[in-house]
Amino acid sequence: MERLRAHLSRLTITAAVILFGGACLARSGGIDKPCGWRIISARPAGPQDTAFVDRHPLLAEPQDPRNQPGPGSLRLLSVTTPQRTGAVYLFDQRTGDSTLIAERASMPRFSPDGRYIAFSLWRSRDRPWNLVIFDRKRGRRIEPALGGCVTFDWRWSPDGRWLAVQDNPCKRGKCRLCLVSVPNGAVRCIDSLDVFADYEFGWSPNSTDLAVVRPEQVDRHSEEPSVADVWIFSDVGRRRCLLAITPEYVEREPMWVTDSTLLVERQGSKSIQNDRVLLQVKGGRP
Amino acid sequence: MNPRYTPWPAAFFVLSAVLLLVVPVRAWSQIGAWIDPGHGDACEQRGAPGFNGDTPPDEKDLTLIVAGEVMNRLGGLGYTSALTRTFDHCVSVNVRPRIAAGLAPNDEGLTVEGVTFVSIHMDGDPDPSVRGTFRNLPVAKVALQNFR
Repeated sequence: MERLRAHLSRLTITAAVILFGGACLARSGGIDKPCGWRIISARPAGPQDTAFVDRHPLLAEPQDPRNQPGPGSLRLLSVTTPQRTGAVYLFDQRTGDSTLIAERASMPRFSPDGRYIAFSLWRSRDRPWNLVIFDRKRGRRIEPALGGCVTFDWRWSPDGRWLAVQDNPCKRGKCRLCLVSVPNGAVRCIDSLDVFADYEFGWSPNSTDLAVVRPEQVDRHSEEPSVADVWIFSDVGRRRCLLAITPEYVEREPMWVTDSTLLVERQGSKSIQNDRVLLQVKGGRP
Repeated sequence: MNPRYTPWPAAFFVLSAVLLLVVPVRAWSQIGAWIDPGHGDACEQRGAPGFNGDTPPDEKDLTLIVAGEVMNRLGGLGYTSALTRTFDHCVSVNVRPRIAAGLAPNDEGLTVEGVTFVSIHMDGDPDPSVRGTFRNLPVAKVALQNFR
């Protein structure tokens, strides 16, 4: 009887330790997978390795951010008004017509099909950078429920159904990576940072996966990330997978070439040189 | 817990600023200079702690004061300038160059290109014997893109 009691006691303690440890790990993000993505191979990227977005006329970074190409003969113009505020106009090169999209607006970007225009709207001193999406077809604005300090590096999914954005705190709080559903404007935040830094992210051509560089530490002086790793978020952010831990590099600008190849810039620490690599990755459900 | 930093301004005080070249501006579409008070608020951005350790003023507070003074003095000389942040709040390091390039507004809604961009910092070091200046070269692609 005594032996049984001692045995039961040991079992209870062991179970408690396992449960507590598991809970701590899960809370810290240590075991929120299994993870379905892995790197098959890596090689230095060459000039022939062009990112998918750079091959797309409306997803590519515009040569001139103040005069961006749109569908057909349309252009998006960002101008400074005589009051020294911003304004965004839609300009038709063929007809010469221009339409004011919004005053106090900046950083406009067309959706891949040209139907929507995402831009930043200044509202007040405390909410200077708000994401607004303009539906050209219905002539209405979509205003996602985000904070007033959204950074401007939003990325349209190639199918035009999602907009990946970074929602920063204006005063207190965490930097969050969020997905905005279009056209309903629903916001789903899929990650947050313990440091004040900028995510960098890119959609896969099939719009199912988001490659994310997630800063872990920031240099106090330069405010640039000093530690960052590459993650892949799938299923509208429901699954996330740490693709690479590389302490010798800070990764930047993940851009998909195909649904299974990823371009990443790597900034080497100290004596290691910067480079750009093409990763062959394999993913799917674990 | 942050290390206790060198007292300001007794031992180590550095004002890092780029040479200010104010040239004639083009009508309302430009201003002479964007003055950038480094860091801001408590978003991990307060910069170097002040002589009181975790008690203000910190680098973010001093840069804001100095930036305001620089703007006022430039105004006195007849040059236009503006601040990337006019009060104590979080501004991403990638947003600042876009404000200076006139691509995004500052917190007061001012959207205008600056001829010059000056970022003000006052660095410190936990070791009081450290002397020197800190040079911060832009590595972010966004900064290079927007200043080309």
